[in-house]
Amino acid sequence: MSTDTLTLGHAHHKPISGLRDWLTTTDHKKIGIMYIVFAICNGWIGGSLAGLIRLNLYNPDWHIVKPELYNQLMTMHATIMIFLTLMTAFAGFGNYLVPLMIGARDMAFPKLNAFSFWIMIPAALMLYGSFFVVGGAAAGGWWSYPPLSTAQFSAGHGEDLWIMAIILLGIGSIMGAINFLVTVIDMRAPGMNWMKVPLFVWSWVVTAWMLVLSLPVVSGALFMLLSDRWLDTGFYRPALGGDPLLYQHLFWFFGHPEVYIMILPGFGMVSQILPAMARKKVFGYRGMVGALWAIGILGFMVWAHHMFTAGISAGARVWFSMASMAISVPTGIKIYSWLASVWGGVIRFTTAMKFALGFIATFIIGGLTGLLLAVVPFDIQVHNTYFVVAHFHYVLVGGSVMTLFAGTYFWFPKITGRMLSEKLGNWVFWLFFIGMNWVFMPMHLLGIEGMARRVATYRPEFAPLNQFISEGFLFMLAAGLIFTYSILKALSQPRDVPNDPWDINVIEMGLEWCTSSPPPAYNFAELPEIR
Amino acid sequence: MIAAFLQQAAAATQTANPNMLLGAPTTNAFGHPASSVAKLAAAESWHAFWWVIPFILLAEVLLVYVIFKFRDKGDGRKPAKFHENNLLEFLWTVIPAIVVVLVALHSYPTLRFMEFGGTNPALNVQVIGHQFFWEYKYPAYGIDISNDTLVVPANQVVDLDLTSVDVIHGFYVPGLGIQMDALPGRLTNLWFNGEPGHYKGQCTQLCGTNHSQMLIDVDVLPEDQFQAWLQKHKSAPAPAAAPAPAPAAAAAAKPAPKAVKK
Repeated sequence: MSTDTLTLGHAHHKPISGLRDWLTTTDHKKIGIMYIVFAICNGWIGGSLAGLIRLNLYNPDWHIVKPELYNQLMTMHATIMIFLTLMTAFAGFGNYLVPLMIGARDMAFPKLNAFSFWIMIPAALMLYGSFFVVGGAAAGGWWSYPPLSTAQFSAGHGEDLWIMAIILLGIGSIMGAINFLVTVIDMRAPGMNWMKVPLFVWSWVVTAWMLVLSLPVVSGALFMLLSDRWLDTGFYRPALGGDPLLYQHLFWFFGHPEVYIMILPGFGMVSQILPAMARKKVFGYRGMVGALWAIGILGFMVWAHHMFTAGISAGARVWFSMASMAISVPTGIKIYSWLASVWGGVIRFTTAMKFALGFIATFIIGGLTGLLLAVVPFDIQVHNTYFVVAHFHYVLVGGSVMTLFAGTYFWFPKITGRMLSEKLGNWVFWLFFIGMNWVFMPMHLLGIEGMARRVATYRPEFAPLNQFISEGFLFMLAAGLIFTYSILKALSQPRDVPNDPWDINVIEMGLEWCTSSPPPAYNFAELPEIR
Repeated sequence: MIAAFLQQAAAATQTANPNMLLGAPTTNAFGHPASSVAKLAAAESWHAFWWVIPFILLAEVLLVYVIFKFRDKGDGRKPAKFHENNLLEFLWTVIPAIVVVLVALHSYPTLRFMEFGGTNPALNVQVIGHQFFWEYKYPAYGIDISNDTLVVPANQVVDLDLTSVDVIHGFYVPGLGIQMDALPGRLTNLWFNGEPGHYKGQCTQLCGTNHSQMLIDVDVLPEDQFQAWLQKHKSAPAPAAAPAPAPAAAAAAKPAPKAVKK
């Protein structure tokens, strides 16, 4: 080891490498990579559970899994996809990119950042381990409504493990969100005023506020549920004067902002990718920032639209219907601004761009059905049916997952110094895009015909459509396999990517594209100045 | 793929015929609305749909146009430089906002009818959710049936009070356009006036292991047939003497049929 190597740390520190480095790192980039890898692994598990669900629903008489196991699979599919895949993946990209994009050397609290990641591991172990305790995993759906989730009706420890895992994940997310906020508020490079902050960073600022304000509420609600289960309290137990509807209000006060937490960073990614690939500046920057805030604020005022059939008052139905519809206005601003951002551009159809454009196409449909569901008379017809399943999968798969694919293809060269195969990427995009629409489009019909969600079997007249849907799953599976293979293949190649492989800085300077691929430790030897 | 999809969709519609294992076809508010509530709800849904669809189509058409028009053809064309337009941004904020308000306001009279339109009910039934079956009580006739078909008279207002003895259940009969949760410790309410026929539904609120088996069947019978059914099922003792059935306290306040409600 040469003694004259210039290091930023103390000279007597031996450089650590390999596993120990990953286990002890506080580097935001390494933590970001761990988040993303963890999310992909969990995505495979959550996707496999979806495969089992579709296999079971292929034929109403097959009963491949027993109904009690089906309810566990369905609950865990949602929990894994929401908390361990989507939120985790966006946290990963946020961790990696936010400090780079604002010209900071790391997050504000690097050790807290590492803690936010590592607290997920025991939470994940509790969730996966709960399959093996007596009574199996939690089976009350990801809402975990009492009284079904109280000790009387869910006696096993699976429910306890689920509650504690969600509380742990919430603690990690709250700390991560505070870290993001302090970083962006305090550590922007000189000259980067708020109106120069990239839209992806803005999306994380709004998301972080939503996390900080909503997660404590659900944590409290879950503590009360745990207390009902173990300390014989009666917050939600009618026999003791409690009210199950209280839990629904508390849960959805978190649950609806949670939906935007899972999509806003995706909006931010697409807002970076679309103009870059069309060689333009983003259209309507101020309107885009305003729309993010409008969605974030309105997102806290609409929660009871999940409860239109729960016996809430007529006045509540009126308010929550109007407020929910109002969200489509800022969402529309974003969609039209994205279209204007590529209008007149010179579009390069890279895989990242295909996913970003495909995202717009599918997200429009998810938005339309969302607006229709806010119309109470319509909602009553399809509430808790497959129409709702179709709607939120269009938002979370056609929306969030597509943006994550786009972001992965776009920033993979920056993160790893290697390009992902565009040839394989073309396959990934088309298989996923076709498969996604194949699976979720017919679910609208199933819901309108009256098939309830969360059922392990169904009346025979629903069989043909269900078979059709299950077949489409194979396309999504193939896309996932090729995507994973593509990543492994790329990682085995030498690093040869320049600072700015997409020629982005020709139009508008993005700080992450000014440094090497991958960026060095602490990102910038000298803080860049923004003019 | 689209052809296959349409085929499947057509097949799904065709297989929903009376010869299927479970009897009558699945009806819903859109295929065959069979009550005033369902008809109004369907009309309201289509109204919202037709207002919203132009915006969606516009966005999708522009998207496809952009994809084909502005692709990099390698001819050295320079990208456009604009990135702001106050008028455009104003229009695509204000126009959707107005439409949203119109759609919302238009739906409120329908909502009002669905909530409060069921005056002068001809029949009151207490619907009680159990894991995993429904119990129907007819307080005026002393009838209490479980795990059976709900039988009601046609073309008259039927008033349902819902509650549950264990977990939350969802009472959903798409053909009649009704859905309401049945919660323990609470009383929820809905009404409908059905056309004669057999209607199928199911529990829509995850209620445990056999949630998917918790089906609902409703027979809406013409008046004479309904009276015959009543005679057959009426319990021997005079119903007026029977105490108000548990668990819903408010059920005691429900008077005999034909009384004015609310």
